[in-house]
Amino acid sequence: MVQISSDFAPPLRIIAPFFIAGTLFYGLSIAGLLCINNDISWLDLHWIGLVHTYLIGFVMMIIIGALAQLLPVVLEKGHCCVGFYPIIFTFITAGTVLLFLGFWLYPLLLSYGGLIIMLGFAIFGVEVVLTGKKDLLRNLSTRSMGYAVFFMLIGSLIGWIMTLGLAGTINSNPTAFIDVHAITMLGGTVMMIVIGITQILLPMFGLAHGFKNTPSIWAVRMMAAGISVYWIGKMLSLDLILFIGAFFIVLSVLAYVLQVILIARKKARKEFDIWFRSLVVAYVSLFLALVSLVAVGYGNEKGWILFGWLFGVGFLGFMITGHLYKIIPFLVWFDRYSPLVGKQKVPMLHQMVPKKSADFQWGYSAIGMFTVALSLILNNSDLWHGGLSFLLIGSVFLIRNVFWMLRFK
Amino acid sequence: MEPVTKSEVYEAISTVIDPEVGFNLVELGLIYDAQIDENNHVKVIMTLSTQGCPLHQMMMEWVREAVERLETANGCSVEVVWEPEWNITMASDHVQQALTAGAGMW
Repeated sequence: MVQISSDFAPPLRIIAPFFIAGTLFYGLSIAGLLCINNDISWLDLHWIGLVHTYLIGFVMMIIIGALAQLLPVVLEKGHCCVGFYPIIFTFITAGTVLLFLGFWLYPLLLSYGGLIIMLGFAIFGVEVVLTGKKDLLRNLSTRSMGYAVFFMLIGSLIGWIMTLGLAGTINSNPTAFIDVHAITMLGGTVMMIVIGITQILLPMFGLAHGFKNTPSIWAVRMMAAGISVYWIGKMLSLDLILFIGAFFIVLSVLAYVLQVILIARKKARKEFDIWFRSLVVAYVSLFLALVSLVAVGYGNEKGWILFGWLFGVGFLGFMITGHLYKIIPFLVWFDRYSPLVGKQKVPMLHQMVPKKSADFQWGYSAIGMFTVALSLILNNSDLWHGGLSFLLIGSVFLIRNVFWMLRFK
Repeated sequence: MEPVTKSEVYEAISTVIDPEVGFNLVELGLIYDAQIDENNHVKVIMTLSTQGCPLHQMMMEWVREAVERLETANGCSVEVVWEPEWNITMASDHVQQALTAGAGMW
């Protein structure tokens, strides 16, 4: 095995902006939700704008920042072009802001925002491919990265074409491919990365050994197959094939959940810290998201919004915020303290987490997330606004905690 | 030159702390062996708690530097092995209790 050298890790100053901007976009999207009512429709432009601010500005921003650090670990080699990351950051930030403004105020901006984001993703994809080359298909984690990049390029291209339609630049129905765009980006990109990275991070932080990774292998295969079949079903306009594609995607998620259970059963570390508690909320949300999908049935718009909420804010949100409490202290420690080991006393990573404030962030966010889910089930606007208020307070704690950890001395 | 002893080597390495779990590498059971040749050169055979650890290279450096601080040691080399694979039972009782204590941080 090639050793991970400090030369491989990008400097903190390159990665930190991803985490700062990501958490700010998180707060912005929660604050924005307070401005709309709970009787939302998928086609409400304000809602779509907030969904994109959340998924691109928060989810993808932080995933890309974390991958800038994790890619050398996964691929066991240094970045090909680490200088691309400031460019990627600029493109994704600018693109997200333009998309937000486009959906809320000036639709003409949508096509520019979509184009800039697609270019940002493309630069990231090129960096990953050039860094990994043949190694991208070597093992489960790297293979999932390869698939994720492929689906990200296709999904963002579809998204850009949709923005051209929304802006009126081309004559097309922008809603015709909304499902393909969502499945390709959420399943093909986000879930594929989550499945691959889970294989590394859960055992690493939980000190788990001796588990089989067969479910993950099948999760990656079924996700890739499911999305491909869904594309075919869409091209042929055949509902049965669409259903088979969606069925494979659900099977992939179930295989992923099974993998998480197998790892959790071998976990040696039992601390109920902020990372672990965040993962508990994340996986409970994922389970409830799958239940809601079955309960409401295919084609029910409210059901899809509930599923989207539990999956996006419950699962992805808590999965990401939980890992921030592991990744940021490590990056800061690596940058600031690792050269001092053996020369003077250095802090432990858990000392670099603001525990009380992190507890508040977790508590407010969990109450808020589940309250909003309840408001969607009961169609109650008081619960909606109450839950979002809790989430907003949680996001303020999150922003504070991220700055606290980044400035730790 | 006085010969360096294994216990001195282990004591030196016990100053190296894994920053993630907060215990030293000896207590964690990550040090498999320390071989000392007739020239007092030390070869440390160690593992890591997980493959792909971002601190892989740095841990090796810290162990090497800790051993080389011994006046009797004549250089140190470090080899990381993955067989046998580390597991929590290799750690000291104290570490096992601390890591598996449950809801201590709740």
